Amino acid sequence: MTTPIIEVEDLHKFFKQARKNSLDKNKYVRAVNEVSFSLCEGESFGLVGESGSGKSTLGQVILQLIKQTSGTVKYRGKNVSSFTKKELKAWRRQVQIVFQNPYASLNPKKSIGWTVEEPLHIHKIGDRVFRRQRAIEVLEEVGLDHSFMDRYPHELSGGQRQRIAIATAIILEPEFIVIDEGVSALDVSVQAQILNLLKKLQRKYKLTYLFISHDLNVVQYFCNRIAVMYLGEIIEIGKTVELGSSPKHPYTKGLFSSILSIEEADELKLLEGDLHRFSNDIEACPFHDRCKFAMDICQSVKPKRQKVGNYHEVGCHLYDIKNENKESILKVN
Amino acid sequence: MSAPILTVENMDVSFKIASENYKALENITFSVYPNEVVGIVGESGCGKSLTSQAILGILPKNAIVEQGKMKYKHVDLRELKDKDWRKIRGKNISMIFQEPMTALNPLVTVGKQISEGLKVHTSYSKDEMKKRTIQMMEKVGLPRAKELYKAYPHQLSGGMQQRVVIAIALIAEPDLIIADEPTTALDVTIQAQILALFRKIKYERKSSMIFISHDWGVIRNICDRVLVMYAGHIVEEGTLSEILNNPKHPYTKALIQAIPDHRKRGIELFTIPGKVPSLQDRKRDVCPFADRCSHRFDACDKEVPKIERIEGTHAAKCHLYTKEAGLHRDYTNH
Repeated sequence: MTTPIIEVEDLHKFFKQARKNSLDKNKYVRAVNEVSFSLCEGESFGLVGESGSGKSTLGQVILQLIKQTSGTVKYRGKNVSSFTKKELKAWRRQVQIVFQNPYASLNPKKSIGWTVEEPLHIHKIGDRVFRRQRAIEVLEEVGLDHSFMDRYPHELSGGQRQRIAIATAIILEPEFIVIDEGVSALDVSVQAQILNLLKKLQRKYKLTYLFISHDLNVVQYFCNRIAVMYLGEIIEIGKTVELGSSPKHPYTKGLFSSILSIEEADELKLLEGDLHRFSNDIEACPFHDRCKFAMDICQSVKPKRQKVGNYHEVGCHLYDIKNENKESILKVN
Repeated sequence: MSAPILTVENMDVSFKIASENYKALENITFSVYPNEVVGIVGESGCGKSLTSQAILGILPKNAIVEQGKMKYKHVDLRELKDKDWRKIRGKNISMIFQEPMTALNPLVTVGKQISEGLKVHTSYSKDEMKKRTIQMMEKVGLPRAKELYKAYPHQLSGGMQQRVVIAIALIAEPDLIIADEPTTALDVTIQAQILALFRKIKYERKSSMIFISHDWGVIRNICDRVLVMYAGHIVEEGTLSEILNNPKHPYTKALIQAIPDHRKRGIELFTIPGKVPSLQDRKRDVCPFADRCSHRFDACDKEVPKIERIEGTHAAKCHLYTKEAGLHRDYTNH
């Protein structure tokens, strides 16, 4: 594998509970908990999990849009939380984000040209003529012609708006882009156009993507590696080919068997219950109360992530070396 | 087959925008038979939801049904007054919407919202209504039904809210349920649970359903028959396997090819150029898909194709299959 562009070590992000809900008496929400992984240059890394699993928070902490509670994020070996204001601004040229809702992420009062040029303004790059020229270039890159410069967001379709969001993200020629549910709001045919566009841009600019999505079909199509999040933790991580064809964690198994494919499929295996509120029970496996294979140890000791294949790691007690029954337990499934 | 429970024939729906009339649905014809799940697929803006709103008589104020017949069993739905509609909605035909949080009243307890259907349509005693409501809550998989009876919607998760919406739709035992993207707002695991619930309802209660979705995976897992809509037209219809395994209309083919999955890794996805035309930009009297179609030929710009039966229940609205364009019939073999 090539050198890491992003390294995340033991990252935590806790949010204070704003008000006490009758169903949840915890003071803190552990949105990101003990997360470590690294991203290699030029890869598309998929982050999957149900809503509330902490995917978006993780993406935003990596970009320092929110500060972590503890842990470090390194960009090309440099610790980003020790950056001065000036360094942070310079770094922002290299990293970008594309959000889910193209209807909410564009300023309705500003023309498309203004929106696309804005990053150049902020970083004081070029003069007016250059900025306009560059904006037109980038629009063409994402498949829109120069006539869009003077139009406004309300005149555009969802797919076109998402192209604008991508144009704004690539105008500074970044190295790393977080795509937070970037194609989820789009129809299949438009979604396919945007996915192809992202692939094309990746090849051209050697981009690295952190691709956050709840759609496992899209992630399996698009990404080289996948990490599965559950209640703020990465419980399984591996190459798409490996993880997709033989998921190990009981949660990942449930998640992948819930995928609705258009191919002939077996009866869906249902994952019972839903994502619980974040618990403060930090000693237990986060999944133990929904898990069919829960053992005594799952309630008292949190599993560590361990290797189950070349690049494949899983955090589950079923794969503890000492556990001799694991094969027989899993076969019953 | 027995008599259809719902028939829609040659229905046109128009919107009035700035004193101009725009046709949003054209020549919609289909039937729903007892114990059958009919899926409607297509991109946003193709008229899927509008079709269901027209059937239930809940069209937006500036839209009207211009012509056509809509019959529920022997009742002519176009003749109904508001007063008659109230007896039918919920009792005979009920609707499930996409966003559970906007479909539920945040100020009313879950139990009250579910039992409302009984209050309106039956003369059960209070105790009987409560008993039936709790039974229904258990049936749709709401745990601790007695406690949740008094809960408010915001205290429930998205999946549980959607179960409440389904309970509301089922409580008066309708024989036709129209579900408009009922799982789109849910996580995959919850979506799988809700689809399993719909299948259970179908087998246990023998209800008919119209299931609207843009997600082929959902359609594949619940529907018996499928209608594909594009720009206000039904462009193809057939059984689930006819549509999925042997799609005929270029639009249906393209839609299915555009679905990403792990088997297509490393391959560029098939796309349809352009986008669904907005209501104001639609061309009249030509094939609605012609502008985006890779098989366009002269006939496509001359008239709207008629729906042509291909085989059995399978039909498509495309000039490649009409008799006048016989030369192009060999396309069917591709």
